[in-house]
Amino acid sequence: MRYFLKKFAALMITLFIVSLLAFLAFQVIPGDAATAKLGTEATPEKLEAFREEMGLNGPVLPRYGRWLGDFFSGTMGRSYTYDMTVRDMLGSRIAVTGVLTAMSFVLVVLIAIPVSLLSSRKPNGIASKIVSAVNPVVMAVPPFFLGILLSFVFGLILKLFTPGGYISYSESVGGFLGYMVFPAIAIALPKSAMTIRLLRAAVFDELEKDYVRTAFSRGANGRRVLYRHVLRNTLIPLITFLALTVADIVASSIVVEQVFGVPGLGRLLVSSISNRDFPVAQAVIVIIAFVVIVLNFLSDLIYRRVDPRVRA
Amino acid sequence: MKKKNYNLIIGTVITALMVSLILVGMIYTPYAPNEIDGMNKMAPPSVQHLLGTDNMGRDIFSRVLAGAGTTLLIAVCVVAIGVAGGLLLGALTGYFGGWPDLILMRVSDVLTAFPSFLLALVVISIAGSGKYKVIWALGILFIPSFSRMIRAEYVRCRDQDYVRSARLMGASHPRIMTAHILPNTMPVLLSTIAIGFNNAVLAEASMSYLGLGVQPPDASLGRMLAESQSYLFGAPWYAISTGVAIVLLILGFSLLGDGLSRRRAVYDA
Amino acid sequence: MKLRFRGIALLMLVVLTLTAVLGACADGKGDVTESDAQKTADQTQTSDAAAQTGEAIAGGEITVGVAQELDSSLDPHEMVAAGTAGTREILFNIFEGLLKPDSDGNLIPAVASAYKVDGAVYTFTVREGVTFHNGQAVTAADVVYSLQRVANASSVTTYVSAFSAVTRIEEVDSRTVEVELQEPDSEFDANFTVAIIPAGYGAQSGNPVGTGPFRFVSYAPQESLVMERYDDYWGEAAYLDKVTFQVYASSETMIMALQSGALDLCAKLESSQVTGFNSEDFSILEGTMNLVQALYLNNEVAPFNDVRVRQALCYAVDIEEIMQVLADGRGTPVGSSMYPAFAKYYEDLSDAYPYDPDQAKALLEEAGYGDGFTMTITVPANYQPHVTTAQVIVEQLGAVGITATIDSVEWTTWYNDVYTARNYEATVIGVDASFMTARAMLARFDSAASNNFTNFSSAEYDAVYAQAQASTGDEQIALYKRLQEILSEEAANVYLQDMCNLVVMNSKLAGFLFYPLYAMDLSTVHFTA
Repeated sequence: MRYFLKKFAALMITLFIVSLLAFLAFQVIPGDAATAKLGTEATPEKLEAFREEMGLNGPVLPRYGRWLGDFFSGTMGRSYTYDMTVRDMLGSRIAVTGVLTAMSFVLVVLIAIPVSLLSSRKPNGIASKIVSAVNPVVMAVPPFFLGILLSFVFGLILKLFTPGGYISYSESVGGFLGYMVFPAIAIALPKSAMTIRLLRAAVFDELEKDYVRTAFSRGANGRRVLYRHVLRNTLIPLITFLALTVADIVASSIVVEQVFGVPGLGRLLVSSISNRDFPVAQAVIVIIAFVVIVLNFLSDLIYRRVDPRVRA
Repeated sequence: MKKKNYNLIIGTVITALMVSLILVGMIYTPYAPNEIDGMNKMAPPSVQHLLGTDNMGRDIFSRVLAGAGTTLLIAVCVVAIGVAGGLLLGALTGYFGGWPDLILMRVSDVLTAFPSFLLALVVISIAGSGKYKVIWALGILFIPSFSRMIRAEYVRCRDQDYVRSARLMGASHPRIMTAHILPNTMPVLLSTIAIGFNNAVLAEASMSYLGLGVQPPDASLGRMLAESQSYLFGAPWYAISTGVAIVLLILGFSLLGDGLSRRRAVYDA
Repeated sequence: MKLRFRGIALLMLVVLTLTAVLGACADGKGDVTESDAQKTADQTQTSDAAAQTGEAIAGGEITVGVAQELDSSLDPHEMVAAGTAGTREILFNIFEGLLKPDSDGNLIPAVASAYKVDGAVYTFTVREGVTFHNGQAVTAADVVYSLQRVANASSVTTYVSAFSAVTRIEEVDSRTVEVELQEPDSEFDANFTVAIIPAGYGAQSGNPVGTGPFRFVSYAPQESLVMERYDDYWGEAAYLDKVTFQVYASSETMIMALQSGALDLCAKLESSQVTGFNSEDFSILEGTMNLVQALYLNNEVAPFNDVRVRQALCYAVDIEEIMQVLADGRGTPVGSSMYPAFAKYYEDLSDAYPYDPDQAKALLEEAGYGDGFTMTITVPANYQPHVTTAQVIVEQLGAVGITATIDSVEWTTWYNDVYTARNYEATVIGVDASFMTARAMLARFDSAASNNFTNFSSAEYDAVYAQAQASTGDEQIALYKRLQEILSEEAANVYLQDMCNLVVMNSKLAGFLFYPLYAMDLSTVHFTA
């Protein structure tokens, strides 16, 4: 319990630091929202007036405090570029990216774990050989190339879906999920290949260990050894890896969103930074940070649970 | 019974092939990669143009070579920076723990608070695009993930019996870290490097795909892949050859890395 | 145990297949046009040529692909002052002025049913039966409000500088408005295409209300803008029920969407982008873009502040090659800031600087840059034609010793950094006229102009420009031609071409008209039987 609280506090502090850093980073960027918005029409007086109004002046900490206040209020602040609240701009995009990430992650787990375990039971078996051969190739395919290929084959040729014809969940949930499957597969396949590689390496490593040999020599069933002992010991690197993988999935989704024309956070992040639309950019950064940190936190907890040898 | 290390063999072959092609490409290519030929756009593969021409009549084969070279250079630099930094930080914090560990872990948490690619995206959106900015941004931002994996390994190993006995025998910390623990982290380390290389090439290609990395007209596999999307129906060879080049590049090194780690592991048993 | 994992693997396979199948089925129930495109693709034998000349059908929905992010504000008056052409061409459907242009460039009465010009006084009769999209009838008060808004010099965002010539706007009665200028100006008519909006309505930027054939429905920034047919339109009603403008950050994804049938229409494409479209499912139309594409130079930054360097650049660039790469030779080279659709004012200066790399090198030598120099060309990444042009230019400049690098940026970044803050060296972009007036194409080069993003400054130009504003008729035409000549002599920029506008459209559609200005009129577009 104490460990939990300690970790939770650490999580909050980290989030705080991330938002502060993001805030500070945007202060040092050349060019600010005022020139962006007012343009050449702007005279120095008008620029100052705009800055005053938007609260761009004044010492750093109070401004940061104000941003925090805005962020946690219902609207999450106002966009500098568009006449909308940050919440409205983020709105559906978070859900979209969230669903895509979740679908990809589920696919990764569903594909990677069974394939790894089934193929590594017998290190010299056929399954293992096939996986060894195919896996590196799949791993080497960039998600966006896979996305292009999927669009080409399943979209343009087989016409199973229309690439670029994104269907929002408000129109049709089935259509939405059906469309999102393809970007999710594009992201999931290479990532699961990476996971398979790691898991198999870890499993093989374990299989060479003395305790495994001992178990076998004592007549234990192969399956039992695999799942009870080996799997347990490979869980640690696996979980650490999976937590990092989610972060990677979010990163991949930004590029893959572009291939399929999915309106997620990716596009928003890049454009809001270019537009110096700080409230929006910061909000996106903090949200992504939140998700990743929480996942790290969870993986830390599980890690501790699983291997009592480790004292963090 | 010694199993043939296919991965190592195939990996070496592919990598050697790609690298030598790239090296040759640095001195000679059938056409200048940026040479425009408006009369000869979107030509299918032929004897004059092995992989055809793109939307500006430039020879795709030459551009793939040039692009592969650029991608390779960037990826190698990025991984080098990442591993160097990661090893240093990971070993120190994993082994010693204590408050430096806590601080570094917090900082590392902050940096891995979102994926290196995203962070690089933010940095480059702010700082502007270009080859060298991409290398430094990605390299530095790769350090946390490397150090995290390495630290996990060091944490796992430091309480093992062989470490305890080495301490008892009077071995110094640096010696333990390098001579005892490091070799035992090799399988995971090499795996991590291979994966790191994957990520580096992917990150560079993704960055270029989004238009933030290597700028046109310089050839960059990611950028070319992005451009080829428009011409998928009319000229699929453009997308396919570029994509395959990326895949081969990653594949070669990944198999190599895998093969190497396999060797180490066997040796270690 | 073994069974358990096998079971899970099997389950996963089933789930995946189900989702894909469900997705495909659900997809099929989607857009009318998408399944139409599929059916057309299947019936390869019975490709109905009669589709082109078939009956016009009222109704239907289409999705148009747009490669550029739209502006944050949809206020039509802000559009004129500082908006981007991409948003303006869409708002063309939602707003009208007292007059509006037809597809031949003539001004026809719109919100006004008639008008007379008596010297410097315009008298407009407000048309009966014109209503705003919110149901309100249009009265003279609304006209006065709209005109006063754009004539209000103290407003940073909505002021249209052409209206500085207006001295009086008066509501004579509920259906008549008089506008008086400082002095008679035969060109001023075109300025009355400025949008008429409801008096006092303050939410234009987020919820535009006008009088056009379509009414605004929704706008999700960076995603889409939706408009529907306005059934109470005073004129000929539009055919389509609904038009969705889908914004794409990259033209490549847009092409794929067009290819797959998710989009029905895309404009401003390059010829190589058009090669993959078969003629059964798609019609390929050709027009001009009605803009001046150029390598615009920041005249205040060295070495572009030296006229010899600018001229050298003009000689170094081969426009023919650019046109060949972009559109297989189609397009019209121009030598100054005017394009051929301005028949009255256009002077063909395109051969002022023929392609001559040796002459370019000589000039550079003379200016002290015998060893060349480096420069950066900033281009908006979403406009493929400009990016491609920039790449061709880089090669051509390389041949005379100039090392140019390209910095391709987001559209909004381009707009902020290059156009607004003028923080650049060179850029490739197309500039159009927000009104069909020669003045609109030339005004920006006056050194005091607020949109003079090239920082061009010439005392002679300023003087002639002022003179031109004060004169009329043939004298004015001659002066405008002189202005074009000055721009060419001073090599203010490396003028390239009025680009070929390639439009790809679903073959079930017809009625797309090209306008001599940057406008996309969807009211004439319809499905055919």
